[in-house]
Amino acid sequence: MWLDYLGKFHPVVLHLPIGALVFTFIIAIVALKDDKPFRSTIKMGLIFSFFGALVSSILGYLLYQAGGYEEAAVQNHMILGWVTTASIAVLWALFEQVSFKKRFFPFFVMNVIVLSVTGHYGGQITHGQQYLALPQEEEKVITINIDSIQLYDQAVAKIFDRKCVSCHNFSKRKGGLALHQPLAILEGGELGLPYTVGNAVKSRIIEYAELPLEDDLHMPPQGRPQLTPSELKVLAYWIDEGANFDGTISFRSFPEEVQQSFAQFLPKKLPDVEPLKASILLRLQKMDFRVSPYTADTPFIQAKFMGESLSSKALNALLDAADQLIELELPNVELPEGFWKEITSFSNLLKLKLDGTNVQDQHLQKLNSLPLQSLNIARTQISPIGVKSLLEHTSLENVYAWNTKIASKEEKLLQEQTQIKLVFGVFEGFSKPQQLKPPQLTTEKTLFDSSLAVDFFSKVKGNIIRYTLDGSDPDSTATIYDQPIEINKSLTLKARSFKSGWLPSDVFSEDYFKVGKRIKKYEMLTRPSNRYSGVHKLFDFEEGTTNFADGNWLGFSGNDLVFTTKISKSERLKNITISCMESIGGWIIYPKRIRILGRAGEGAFTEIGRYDYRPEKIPTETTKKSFTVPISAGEKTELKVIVENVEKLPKWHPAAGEDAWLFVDEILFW
Amino acid sequence: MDPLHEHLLNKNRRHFLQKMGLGIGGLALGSLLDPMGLKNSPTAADLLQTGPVPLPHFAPKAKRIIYLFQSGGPSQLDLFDYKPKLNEMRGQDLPESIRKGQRLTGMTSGQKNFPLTGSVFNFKQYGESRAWISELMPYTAKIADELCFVKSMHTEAINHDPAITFFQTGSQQSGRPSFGSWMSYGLGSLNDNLPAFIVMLSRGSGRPNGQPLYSRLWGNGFLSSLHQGVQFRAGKDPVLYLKNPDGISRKERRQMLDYLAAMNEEQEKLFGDPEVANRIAQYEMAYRMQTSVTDVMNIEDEPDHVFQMYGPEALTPGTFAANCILARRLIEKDVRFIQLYHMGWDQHDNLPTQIAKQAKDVDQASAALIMDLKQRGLLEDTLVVWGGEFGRTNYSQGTLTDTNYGRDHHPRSFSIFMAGGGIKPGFTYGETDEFGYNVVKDPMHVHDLQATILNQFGVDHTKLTYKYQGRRFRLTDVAGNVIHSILS
Repeated sequence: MWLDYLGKFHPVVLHLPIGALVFTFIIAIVALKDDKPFRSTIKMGLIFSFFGALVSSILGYLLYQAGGYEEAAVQNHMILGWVTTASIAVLWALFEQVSFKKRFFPFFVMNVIVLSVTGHYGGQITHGQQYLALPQEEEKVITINIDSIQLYDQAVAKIFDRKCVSCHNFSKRKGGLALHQPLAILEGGELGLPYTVGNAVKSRIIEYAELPLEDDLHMPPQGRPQLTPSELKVLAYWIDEGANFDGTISFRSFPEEVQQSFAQFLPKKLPDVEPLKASILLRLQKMDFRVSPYTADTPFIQAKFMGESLSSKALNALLDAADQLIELELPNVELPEGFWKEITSFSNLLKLKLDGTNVQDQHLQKLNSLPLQSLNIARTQISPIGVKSLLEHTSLENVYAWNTKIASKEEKLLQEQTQIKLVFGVFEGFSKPQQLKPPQLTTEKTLFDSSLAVDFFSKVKGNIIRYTLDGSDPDSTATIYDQPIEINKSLTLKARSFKSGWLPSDVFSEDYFKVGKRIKKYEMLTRPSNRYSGVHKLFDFEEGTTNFADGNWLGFSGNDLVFTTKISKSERLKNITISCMESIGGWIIYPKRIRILGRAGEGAFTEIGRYDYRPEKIPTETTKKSFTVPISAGEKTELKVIVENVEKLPKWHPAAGEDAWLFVDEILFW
Repeated sequence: MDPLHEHLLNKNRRHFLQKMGLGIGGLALGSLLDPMGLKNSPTAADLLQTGPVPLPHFAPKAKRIIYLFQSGGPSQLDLFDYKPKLNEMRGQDLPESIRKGQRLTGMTSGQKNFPLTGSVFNFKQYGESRAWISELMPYTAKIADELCFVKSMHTEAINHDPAITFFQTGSQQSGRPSFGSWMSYGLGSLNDNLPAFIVMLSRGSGRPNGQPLYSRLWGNGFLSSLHQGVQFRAGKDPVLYLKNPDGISRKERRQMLDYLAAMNEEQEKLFGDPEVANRIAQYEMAYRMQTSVTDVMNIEDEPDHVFQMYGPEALTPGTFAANCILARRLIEKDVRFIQLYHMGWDQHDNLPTQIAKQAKDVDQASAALIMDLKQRGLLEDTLVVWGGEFGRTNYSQGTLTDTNYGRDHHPRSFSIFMAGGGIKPGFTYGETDEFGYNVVKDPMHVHDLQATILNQFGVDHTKLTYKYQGRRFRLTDVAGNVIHSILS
């Protein structure tokens, strides 16, 4: 302990022998003309220097024993220190023995040189390697808006991420505290908020960080990466300024020491490189690279290789642009070994995409010397070994390793070892077996008078459609659809999609209807609206959809639909079915009544069928309905069909009192 | 003088005077006489700058964008903006202190009262970011931590067409270039074989007969026609009029195009109309697209797990989900701007039944698209935007019943979300009042959104301009601020 303490006096003592020796040396230079008057003075200087150097060396040794210095630098300094001490002793011994000018003085010169080197190494230990670096040109102004610094996002969140979040996060909440995002921070821990807004000194987060390392409450705990003084300063400044999570603040308003501490959080400046020569660009483009500029005012470029295999010519062209290359994409490219030999040449590369390439585990460690921020190795043969060699990378932020040889249980293990975000793919919650959609028909026609071919369509690979015609639900034993289904009687078609890996679809069901009579001649007695006209559509066997503007519907505004048509007894008609639609938004209401009148020859019409529609509730949705009216045709030869409009929109309707629309499509006689 | 040649001189004279005015007349004269002759050799940077202004202005976070436009105006109050107060005050009249004279559409301006209605759907908080999402969007909820919600969007228009036009062109009146065209004009294409701006449409099952969209929404306005959006369709012909007529081989087509180009060049020399050069370029693009489009549209080579991820709808071409898979494939080909329009979000009546179907159309596929981009490492430089042209009212249009209501258009506040492209994930920006009617914190105007999106592409929105009829136009007109708080 005491010896360690004594060591601290090394810097106090060491300058004495240096001064003495240098002074003696100056006297020796003067003495070169005539040494006699100075001999005793020089001897005295040497003796003083020697003992000073000896004490200084011993103290230095004690300081070294106490530790805390970088081993290599100290070793050089210590060895040279002893050499200096010893050579002063030799100098002292030689002084009486040899010629002053020819032997003693040259040796003295060497001695002073050794001393200087020793001193230089010593200085490096205390002041750092860069202390004596020559002053450099001032760096260019960084092109971010320093007037709107977001203190939390740009610095505080990063500090938390680096030093705190590994123990204070969503899943691991030591002391109940989580620091991974603003909302969590505001929830506080068991002891409440970790800081006092506006007062850093009284904030637990700062207090704990400033406790001695051995203290149990010290944060981050011993053995974990510690907060640096500049991180601490930024953190304290943020708390003092109100611990805001958003809002911006000008860099210029920071106190100077905070500005210095904050500098590390400003975006890194890109290195200065020469602009790319046009000839190299043209070569790259010829070699199938697609090149684009990074920004207009920097020489940096991004390149994507569009070919399948990287030839040595292409690689050479790329190497000529290595300094300017900031992003390189080589998707699905066959990479030669030569590429990996040269990879370290791309010394400014921030983003590398190797997805789908033949990259191997052993290649990845070479990337550690690149300033990469993003690496894509998705769809490759990379195993955990490869990813492990990257975990210590100092600048990487994201590694995309989806679809590699990394098992899902290893994914978590790897992620726990690093602060780099590893993205392994995201099927969780998306991969459960899903239900297929029911099959779809190519035509919506369901009415026919002789026969009808029904055709399913499916663009789904490996999709199997099974169907029944007897009304039962199709299961995995039902008939497989492989050609159009021929229908020649009224029936219900049911079908379902099947596909391995998927749940079978819901049952698709459609009723097919063989119509007894096709109306060809008729006489309209009322007129539909011009916008929804074309009377033949009533009898064309094409049914309208719930879209009133689909071209199949006839619309009557405020008036009824009335027409006559001839029939014959042999047709044995028993029913008339009329399709209508209702849409509140479209002001379309179902008919209030349907009346069928009939007459034989030129006699008077009498009612032979009637349907009164009384809605059960106020409609809300757009619907389609078929009204079937039984008739007793008997000997009648002509029918008159009257579909009665409600005329005015009912009271419950938002536009009550306006003319109501009646929409009719197919009318069937059977 | 030959009057036909006068235009060439006109052009030069105008350019000359323009450049003289800028004080570099001497140089300009030289460059007019021989544009390449002045410099001894152009640098690579010169060759790479093909656009009108040197771009990007600064380092971009995003290179590509997928804009999932939800046409019709999705009800923010039933999807993302949770307002329990509206459930408490159900049936009560909207206070004038909240409405503050807001104009209404003709569809509800005649209503005697405006009964407030909360959502019939349950809301919960999801992810570490604790984002509020309704039960209508279960897959979106799973990826809440990837998303940045903006709850404080507001617009100026109150009807569909002007509102969509406003979002797409920065102006309610049609005629300006669309967003994708500006992007194509400023930043150019990353792929020589496909257009820089591709549009795909799908119809929603919530309201299958909703408003139509017009192709001018992806039109180039006064920009060169090279920049107009190209619509890709489901079915045999993804791009209309692209394939060779029967009996014409690709080789014959090539010969025909070569001869046509030679004739067009003659015409260009005569008349100097830049549209002639554009037309030649478009013919060439169409020729290349004959093969590139078939490749990219053929989604049958996608493995089964992809369809599972995007949901069963993805198996049916032309659906929103199928278009999402296509969007991802186009992103892999570096198409700059992909816009999907999903129609049918216009729930004036029967909102609960309709919006449930509508949300189901898009929920899984949108979420799957974002996660698929993420696992492929594409999300970090691809921006995904999901949102409509305006929001919906907090009062019921038509009769309010226990289970049924409708909502009218509402421009003062609505929600959108974004992911990737340097936008802060797991974040919610802006707030509305407890009635979900007015923005009370951090508003984001349509122009702000446009400025922010351009910013992510390294473009200063005030500097991407085009001079037309004597005025310099830009996408954000004379407004718009980049919202820095949502940038990561």
